[in-house]
Amino acid sequence: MIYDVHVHFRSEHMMRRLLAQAERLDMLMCTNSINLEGSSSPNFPSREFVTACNERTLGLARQHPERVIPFWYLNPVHGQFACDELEHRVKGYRGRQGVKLWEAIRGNNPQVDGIMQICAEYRLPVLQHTFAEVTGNLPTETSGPDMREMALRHPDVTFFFGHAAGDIEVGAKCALGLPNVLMDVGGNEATNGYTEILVRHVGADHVVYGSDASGRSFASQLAKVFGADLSPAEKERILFGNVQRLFDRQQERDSASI
Amino acid sequence: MIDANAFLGEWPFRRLPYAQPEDRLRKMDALGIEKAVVSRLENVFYKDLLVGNEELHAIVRRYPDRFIPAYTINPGFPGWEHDLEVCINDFGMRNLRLHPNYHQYSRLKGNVPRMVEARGYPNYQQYHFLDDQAQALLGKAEEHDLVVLISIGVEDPRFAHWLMKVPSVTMIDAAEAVNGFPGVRFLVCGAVFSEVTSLWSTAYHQDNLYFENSRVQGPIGDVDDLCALMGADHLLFGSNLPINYAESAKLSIEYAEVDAAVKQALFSGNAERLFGA
Repeated sequence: MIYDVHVHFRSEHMMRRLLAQAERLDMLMCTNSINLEGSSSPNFPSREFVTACNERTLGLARQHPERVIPFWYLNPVHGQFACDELEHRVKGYRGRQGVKLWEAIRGNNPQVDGIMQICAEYRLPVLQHTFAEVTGNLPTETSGPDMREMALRHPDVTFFFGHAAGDIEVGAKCALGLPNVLMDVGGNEATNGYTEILVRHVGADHVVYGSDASGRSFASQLAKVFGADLSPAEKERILFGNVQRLFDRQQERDSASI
Repeated sequence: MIDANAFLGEWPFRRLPYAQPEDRLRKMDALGIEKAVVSRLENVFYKDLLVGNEELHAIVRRYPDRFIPAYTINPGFPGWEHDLEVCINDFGMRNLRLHPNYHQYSRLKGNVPRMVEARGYPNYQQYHFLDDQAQALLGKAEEHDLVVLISIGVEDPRFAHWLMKVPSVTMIDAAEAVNGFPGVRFLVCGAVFSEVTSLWSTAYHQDNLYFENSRVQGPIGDVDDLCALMGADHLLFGSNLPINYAESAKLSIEYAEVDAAVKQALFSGNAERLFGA
């Protein structure tokens, strides 16, 4: 089995393709919606937009519980509304789940603190988008150093370092020594040596497979693991074991609270 | 399998696996790649491309059954006609590699933006296939029946070194070459999905237009969609080694929902026809 920590529900058409391939690959997809059917993805989504995105994710997860793990999309700028939305989603869904944060605000901003407290309480992994584009990030986009600050600020939360900052050398150096960070290999081109560089800096226990599908193909992103010069045991941890461990911890908490 | 787009040599900004011929052959063997079309990676950056072409010729002579050379020429640099003659007459050149964006064909002309005037992308717009020297080179390619490999981009430009902000070749520029020389067979290398579909729709001569899939890394179902758009005869397997994992292009074809005959065409049949391999 494979866990993909970074899947977007862009359209029904693309989702059908993802589900078919996931079936063949025996893959579980941590899936978020940052757009609605036929819409683009606004950087600063409204309350109504976020709620509608999460309804869409919920419907998909309920329809395909064997393939889809919902990751609730939040805009931290919404303050208490975002916290309430997350509590509502967590209490309304039984099963593995997580949180997706994108570009509305940098992850190290104190406005994110309330959401992080809930994530810590429910042991929800957080997929935080990060980037280090050579021509410059968006003003509210989380950079590699921002992600490092975020992880240090919230030591009780486990983060998927989305895209590993895009620039893998930047991402790898920013994650050095962080116990609560797992590097998401997904979303950029299958640059040779990509996964080996991450493993060399943070260890195979801190790297996970993600694709950024449907914009990216599973093939191109799995190539970063299948094609890496790593041991079979290391690849197994990246593709499955590291994420399974997180969800086991989440399930322990859920069982204890019943 | 035949790899239609690969390089041998070192990249200045990162140590890459399988850069040297012996390592590459082991990798090719592991993946089932019998032959690869290769250019010298250093020739992305060298001024005197004959140096890199000579090195490539020496490598290919050692492994003539495994490597098919594509020699690199920069029509914007003095003496390119001499380099071309050497490659044709002494090396038996059949395939020509172009890097219009890195080589800046119009760089020595007076009518191009100065670096300070091109924010973000200092090298932007300093090449053009309508440049008289580029036109002359394409004319020579037609005369000698060379397959022309246009490198649209070698790496993801978003994460390039901060001193190497080189944007990809635009599809409008690539279309100028394809449309202007219908007698030349063009293999467009290193184009992403949207660039492939854009160029295919922009080009009004399509019989001579081919693409390889090394940087076609999405969306999901990319190979299926390209086969549906262009037919299966115009897409080839290409790895872009050592810049990319070769497994990306290989798995993209393996995962495609097309029949076995189509996959065979993509993996080898189309390349055999194009390169006479």
